Amino acid sequence: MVVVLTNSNLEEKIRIGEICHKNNINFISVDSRGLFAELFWVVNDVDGEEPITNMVASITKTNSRYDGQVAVFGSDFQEKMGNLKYFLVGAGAIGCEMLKNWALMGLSAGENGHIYVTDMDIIEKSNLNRQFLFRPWDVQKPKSSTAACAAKHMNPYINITSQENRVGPDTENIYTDDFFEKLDGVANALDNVDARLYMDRRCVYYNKPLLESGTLGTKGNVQVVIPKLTESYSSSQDPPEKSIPICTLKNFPNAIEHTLQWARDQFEGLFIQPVEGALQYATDPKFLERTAKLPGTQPVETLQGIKKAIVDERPTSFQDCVTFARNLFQENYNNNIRQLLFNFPPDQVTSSGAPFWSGPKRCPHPLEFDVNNTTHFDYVMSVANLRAQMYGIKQVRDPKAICDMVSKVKVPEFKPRSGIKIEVTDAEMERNQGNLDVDAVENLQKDLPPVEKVKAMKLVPIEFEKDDDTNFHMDFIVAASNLRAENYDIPPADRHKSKLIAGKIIPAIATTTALITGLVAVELIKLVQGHNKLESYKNGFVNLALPFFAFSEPIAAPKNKYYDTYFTLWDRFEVQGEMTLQEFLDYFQKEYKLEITMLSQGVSMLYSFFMPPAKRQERLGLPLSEVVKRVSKKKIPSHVKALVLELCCNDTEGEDVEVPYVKYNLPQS
Amino acid sequence: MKQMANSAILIYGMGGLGIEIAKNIALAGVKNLTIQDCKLAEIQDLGTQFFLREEDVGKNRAEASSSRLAELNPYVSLSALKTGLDCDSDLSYLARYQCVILTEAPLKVQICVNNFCRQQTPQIKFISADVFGVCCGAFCDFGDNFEITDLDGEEPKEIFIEKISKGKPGVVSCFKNKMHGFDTGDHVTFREIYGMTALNGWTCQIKVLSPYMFEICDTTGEEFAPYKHGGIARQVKVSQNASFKSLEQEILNPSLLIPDLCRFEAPANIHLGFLALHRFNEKFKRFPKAWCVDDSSNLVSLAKGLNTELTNKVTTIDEDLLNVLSYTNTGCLSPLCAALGGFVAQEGIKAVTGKFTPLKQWLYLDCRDVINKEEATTPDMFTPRLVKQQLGYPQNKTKLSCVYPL
Repeated sequence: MVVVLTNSNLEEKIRIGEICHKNNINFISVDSRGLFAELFWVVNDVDGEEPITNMVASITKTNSRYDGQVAVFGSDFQEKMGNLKYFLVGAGAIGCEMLKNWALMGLSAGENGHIYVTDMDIIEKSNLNRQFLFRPWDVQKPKSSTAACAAKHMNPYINITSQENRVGPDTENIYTDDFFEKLDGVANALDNVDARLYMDRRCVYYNKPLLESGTLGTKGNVQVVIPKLTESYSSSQDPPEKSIPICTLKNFPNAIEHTLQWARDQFEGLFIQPVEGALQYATDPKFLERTAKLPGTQPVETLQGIKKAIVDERPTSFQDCVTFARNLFQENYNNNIRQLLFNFPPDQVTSSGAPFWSGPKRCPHPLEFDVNNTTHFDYVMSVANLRAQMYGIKQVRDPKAICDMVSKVKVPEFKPRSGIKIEVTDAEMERNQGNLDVDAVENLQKDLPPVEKVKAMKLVPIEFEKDDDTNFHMDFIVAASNLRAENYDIPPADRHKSKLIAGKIIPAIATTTALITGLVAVELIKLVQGHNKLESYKNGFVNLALPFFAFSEPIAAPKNKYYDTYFTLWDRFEVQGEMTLQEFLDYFQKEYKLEITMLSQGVSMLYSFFMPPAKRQERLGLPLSEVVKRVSKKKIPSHVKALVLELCCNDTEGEDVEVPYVKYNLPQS
Repeated sequence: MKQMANSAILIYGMGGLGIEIAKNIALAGVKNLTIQDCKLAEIQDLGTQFFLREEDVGKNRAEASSSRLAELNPYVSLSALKTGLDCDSDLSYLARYQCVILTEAPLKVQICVNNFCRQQTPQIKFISADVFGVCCGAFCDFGDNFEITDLDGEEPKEIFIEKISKGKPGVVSCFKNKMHGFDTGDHVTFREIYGMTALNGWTCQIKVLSPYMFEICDTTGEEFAPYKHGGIARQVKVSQNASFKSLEQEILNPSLLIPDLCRFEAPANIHLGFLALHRFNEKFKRFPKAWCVDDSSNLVSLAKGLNTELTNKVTTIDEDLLNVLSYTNTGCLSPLCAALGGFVAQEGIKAVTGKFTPLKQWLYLDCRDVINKEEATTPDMFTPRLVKQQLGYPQNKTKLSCVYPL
């Protein structure tokens, strides 16, 4: 009576339709295609009467949360969306917004879908005004699991796993070949360029799309990186930030940024380097040998630093720490400034007759210590406590007790001396770089106590952490920077502002983040739809303050070529191992007419045309993975399925040609 | 941000766009935030409205999302109104807000509310915004005389001075040929100058001569001693006043922001499309159905008719774009809600703080690229006509219509 055809092709429809037509059989064809969730095409052919042809476009209301999206893209799309596997790197401001969009869109809500989100940070109170998945009671909990949980509340059907890993070479045993190969794409929600570059490299290697975005106050940008199509994130980069000249930091600061950077350097030199150096000396037998090879006067400086830390100035009580702190105040904010003014008095003129202290050079004045001045006291308190921590001495947080200890300190008299050289420019400083005194190095080495003794000292390495308000780190930075600012009549910065400037942080705001992540999600939809033309995608730049938008087509991956073969950053030679080095060389000669002149893996040189014949002979017969092991002196971890090899090649004419890298697949056991 | 802490903002419409705006404004912090909506939550709201849950279906959208919204910022006093808005509504309650933001409101209601806002003293800042399928748009009217205290949010630039000439006007040279980065018309202030000390604390408007030099005021007077050395010139933020036109005026003669220079005509076309959607809704008491060819051709002809009414006519009507708008208008995409919601919230913050330049006056964004042309054009490719011709049915007898379950 009735024939029903579902999702059949046109020919079939016509053929069967004709048969039905001739034989007076009711005929119904039902299709679902492309955008249309369900396209009913019905021919009801009864007794030669006019057929009823109804086309029912997409919206069979499925009465689901995704109906708004299905109305635009159809249910096929929704199914694809549900089965996506995406890796979200970061659960901060952008990460939270991304998870919101993904949950709403139903990404990973299908049987095979999954979201992996990683972020090593815990939630701080200051995050709450822009990372909207977090509440006051979530403070101190990990970001990734809290955000994942909040997203799951928005859409209970999503599949999500949260992790607290930093992405980088250290976690390649977690984010392995297997992990990446399963993914449909990666979204960066990072706050630093290094991690962005790293994820970019990984995505290029695994040929995965990367959704890259960032915000800076009211400014934001979106970049979509598509395998085989666009350039990658690292193809174009902003010029590096200008660093502050050393002389400006050392003697001629003129802005709070300079005093903050100086304070940060002081932190490094006072509380981190000495302990690190001493611990290396104690645990690494090759430390002395390595130090001796450092350039310039560094060997002497490094050893002097260690000697000072563990011999000359090693404290045994908290009072010692306070004494050190009080004297350091004197040295930094009084003695050194007086010495500087001794060399360059306020009325000093340059050789051309202009005043020396003008323009960016601000004439300083020395500070007199006053225990009742809170900044002075904060400085002593933080230095003493950090120093106590370094040496495993019990900290003292009682201000009165510290006041008493300060009063006991006898500050040595200081008189500026002639014959002290102070460089005015970085160029001058480089010229005056002293020569290495080999004897001094040897003497210093002899002066260091035996390794066992250092090991017994229980030195505590400190890692800078700006967000802990109880660890004295920011107390030190703020006090040290503001005291120096006072020396030079630079307006001081409070704790909050100092933190922002020192961390080079422009606080993210919710509005820009929401906008940018929305634009990222639009690009994600295009990826899911399988667009494969450059012009379908949009990179975007926005500044909400103006307001300003700029969209542009992503830039195509630049093409290179050898012989007549074009390649881009997405291409590589895939070689199935195992081969001996000789076989590998022959393979390239035979398959590609390329003569390999050098072959390397990471920092290991595996083969070069100029290597000693004996060594070459030995390596040529070995399997490549064995060569890698021997040269790098490391085992290949079991999760590594392929090696990345870099080539230098000559063509048949002996000309050097640029070629892609090699992905050398290791045999799977 | 003191102004923020003293302001009251109302957001009407608690769909995907409304909640995004409300979330961002709550995070930024205002004294009072009111959300208003008369609609009951439906299951499909959950695809964009992130503060609704399955158990909220059937409840008032504003009420159902208010507790989750309130959690975002304890300093914001939040209230929810369940009443709807139409042209007969008593709008007097709006007088207590500094800024009113409408979403999902019919154009006529937008005009009524905009007119009311303009009549108040001081004028209430008005924003309306909507997401229709693959397009979205926003409109701002901050009144006849709106003061912008910070035009761009950039840190004021500061430079060291090498020399200041005595002249009419005086010329400032930068230290060691460092570029000043100022623009003609900028205001700068001086400090720590030796010699020409009269300039210290003085603010004047400058004219740029070169990247390293700029003109200031007349320095020939006796009070200006010759320049010796030192000194810093710093940019000063000067407020500026902006004047907005009403929604009614702007509908016919829109000032459009062009977000994508490669698609110069897109905003004007979407503007026309949005007007046509509202006209369609007024005429048929519904919006065009999804992927319905009949409705879409209706919309295109409405748009063409409307174009003749505009002061500034659209030269090339982009029928493809209007069709896609019609096909998809009933859909709602969370990415567009997020993008526009972020933008509109910032405009709301500008409205109450005067910080940063506001939108003058329309923004339209689209993501028509998401519709994959190859895979899915209009339903034409499935038109039964083709099949039936081959089946031997007479073409003119074919009845093609859109039938929608529901």
